[in-house]
Amino acid sequence: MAILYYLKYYYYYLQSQFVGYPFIIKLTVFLVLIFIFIYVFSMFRSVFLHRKERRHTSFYKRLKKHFDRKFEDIFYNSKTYSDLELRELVEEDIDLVTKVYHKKVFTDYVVDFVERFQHTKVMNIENYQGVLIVFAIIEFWSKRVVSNSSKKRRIALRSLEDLNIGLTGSTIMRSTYHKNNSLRKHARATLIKHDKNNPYQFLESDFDEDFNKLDEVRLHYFFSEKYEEGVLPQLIRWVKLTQNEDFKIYLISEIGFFQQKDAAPMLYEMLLKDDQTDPVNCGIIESLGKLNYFKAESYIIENFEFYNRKLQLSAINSLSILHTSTALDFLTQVYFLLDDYSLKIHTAQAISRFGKKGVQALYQMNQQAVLDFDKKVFDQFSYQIG
Amino acid sequence: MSYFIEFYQYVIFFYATLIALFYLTLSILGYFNIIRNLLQFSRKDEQMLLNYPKIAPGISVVAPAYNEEVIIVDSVNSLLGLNYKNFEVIIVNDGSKDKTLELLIENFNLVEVPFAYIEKVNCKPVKRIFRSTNSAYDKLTVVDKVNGGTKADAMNAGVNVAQYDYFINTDVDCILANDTLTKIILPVLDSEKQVIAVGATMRMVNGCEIDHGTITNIRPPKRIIPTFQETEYLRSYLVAKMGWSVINAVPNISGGFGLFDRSVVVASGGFDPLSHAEDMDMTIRMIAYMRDNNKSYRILQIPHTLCWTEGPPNLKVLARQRTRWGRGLLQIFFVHRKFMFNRRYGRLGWLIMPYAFLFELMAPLVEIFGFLFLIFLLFTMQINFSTFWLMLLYVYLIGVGVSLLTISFDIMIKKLYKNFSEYLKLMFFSSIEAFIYHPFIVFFSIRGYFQFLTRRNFKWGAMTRQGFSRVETNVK
Repeated sequence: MAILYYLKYYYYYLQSQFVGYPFIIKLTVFLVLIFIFIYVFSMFRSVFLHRKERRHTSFYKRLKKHFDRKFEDIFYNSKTYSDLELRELVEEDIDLVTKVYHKKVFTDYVVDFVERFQHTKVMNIENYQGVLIVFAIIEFWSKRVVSNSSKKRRIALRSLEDLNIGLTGSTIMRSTYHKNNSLRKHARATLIKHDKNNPYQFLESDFDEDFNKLDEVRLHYFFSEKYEEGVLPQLIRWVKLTQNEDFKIYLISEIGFFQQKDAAPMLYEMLLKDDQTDPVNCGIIESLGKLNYFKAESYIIENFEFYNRKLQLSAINSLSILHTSTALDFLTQVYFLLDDYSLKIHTAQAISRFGKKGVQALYQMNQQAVLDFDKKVFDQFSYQIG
Repeated sequence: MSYFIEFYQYVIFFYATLIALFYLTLSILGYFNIIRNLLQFSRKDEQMLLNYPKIAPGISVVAPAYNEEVIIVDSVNSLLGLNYKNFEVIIVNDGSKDKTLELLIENFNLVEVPFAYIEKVNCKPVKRIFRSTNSAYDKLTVVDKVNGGTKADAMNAGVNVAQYDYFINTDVDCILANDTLTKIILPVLDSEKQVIAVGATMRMVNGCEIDHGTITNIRPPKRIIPTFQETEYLRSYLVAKMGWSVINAVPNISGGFGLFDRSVVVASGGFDPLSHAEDMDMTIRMIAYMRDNNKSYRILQIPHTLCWTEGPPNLKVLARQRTRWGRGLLQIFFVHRKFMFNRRYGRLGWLIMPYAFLFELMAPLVEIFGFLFLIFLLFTMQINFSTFWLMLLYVYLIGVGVSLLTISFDIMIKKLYKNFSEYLKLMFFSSIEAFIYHPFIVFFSIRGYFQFLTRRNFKWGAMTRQGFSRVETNVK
């Protein structure tokens, strides 16, 4: 209330100073005040941000000095401490990590600390979890991951992911329908790892209406973890369900990447039906190559001349992976029928992947070559193979 | 006469107020865009791209080099050290007359290799292609070509040789941050529309401590001219371009650093070798191509500082640079006049081009005419000094206010300078920029316009290199 009083006072004072002046002058005075405010505000803000950063840096250094030795003893100890023992070990340090920014910096410190030793030492997960519970870190982030602020949720989700602890399907679920694209999609991808009830539920519905390449990266990361655990489901079941073409293409390429050979006949059937778009067919052709589905070879070769450029490119890639002598013969023949120089280079590159046979083929093709460009192509790939 | 004087004063006032409103709006949009960018991606997202290279898009880093023997080895070492799996470095030796090529061959074990070169975009003939016999440099390709006279021609040769879908347009005098490629490709992946170009913040390397192409200590420049440019660049990137990016109206992806979609660049005809502002020219033609073909697109700007460039160390070199920029800017409006107010080209036609015309091209002319007019009023004793000082304060505060706002944005993104006194230095220089630095910029810009109109035969101009491998000292 007092501030309002002062603001009113100075407003009337300025008004009185410029009584009788044209409107333009009054407007200029007003704009000058705005910019003076911006000037002063920016100055103070810069100082505030600098002090905040300095506070964080000095606290981080303090944590490092204080806990490096201690945490190395606890986290990488073969003996599992009980909650009581852990509390006794760090009792005098708990008061060090009380404020909000303490917990944030402490989280960063722990993540960096663990990263330092991740390839050299084996962590005692129970001790690690126990320490985080004693310092109330998991509790802190678990509260924030369900807060009303999307910003807090996103940072909390990332922090718990980085800590590799504390995330459950139920805590993530609340963010899976959030209007914030980034948060929603990140939550849906993370669900695959942490939800025990129905981790793939969003794959049933095209994952997200705004599915993009970054979602592919995130999903690939979680699929890879499942694959290493040996529990990655057959992705083909969602290929048939999905209406989103980009998602379909992605799943098809992942089938090839994760070598889900059981899906190959179904993919081949889809290719034969030929009722999908060219980008989907490109994905199918390339995956059939990665899955070493030799049955598809003859179909690809027969239809090559009817394919557009992108399909031809996929066919060339696929044939080079299939690596049969039929494929090699075909590629050496088709090279001279192509008039697209980029495709010629791709074809020559594909031939070069056939090892000694490929080298031989390139040499023979070089003898037959008439165009200077063709000679350069064969020289280039012969040189690369050595 | 008095009516004309009054009319002119109102014109100046509303011109300045429009600039102020634009910059305030861009600052607000830029602020929220910066916040969004900082939250959008995490270290983990970058780590995923590094851990799973098969799904990370390949990027070609293309850097033309003409007479760059002083810095070429450090520059290439710096580029090869970028933290990303799928990338290549293409150095285009644009007919250098010094030892640029010899140094490259010697230091990177290069041999001439057969190469099936396809000229997708026009450029002067490519003579030879070099690759390394040392597997440590297997990402490096050196293109030796006939000098084309401009960077654009050399870039086109690099685009012709590039194998990946995206390429970085940069210079050999630029040092890129180690995480440049992950940071710049993430927004491309996280977009529903096709991203055709991405820009990032560039700043001056002049005061930084460098050890063999790697920045070990970030500091503002020591010399006066580059220090002024530091804030000038930050204003352009953190306020203007970050603001424009929100409404998909970024007018220009800088030629010093930018990521481009190679297929769109090729389809647009590549960089124009006759242009003296090839970066803005390329951006405009890419937008025009997308609009002509009814394709949705986005041009993005990210706030992170990913590139440090050697700024002109003195007035002579600054004059060359800004005169060229002036020629280039005026040339843009001659070459691309059909886009102006053309609704068919969307924001390019009704926002970007008119804005650039009114507030970039016309600004030096308005200022110089205003100054001459002021002299006239002084001599004829027609100045009302109380309103004169008020107006002067107003115009001054527009510049200084936005500069200080920019510096606070910079600290918010990441505090790069260790000591706050270094930011105070930038703030001080911002407060005297209007009196010391800006008049030279106005003069050099107008000189550029004049040169363009009188059609003199121009050369790109040499940049006086200091080199990276020593700490900058106070040399007179």
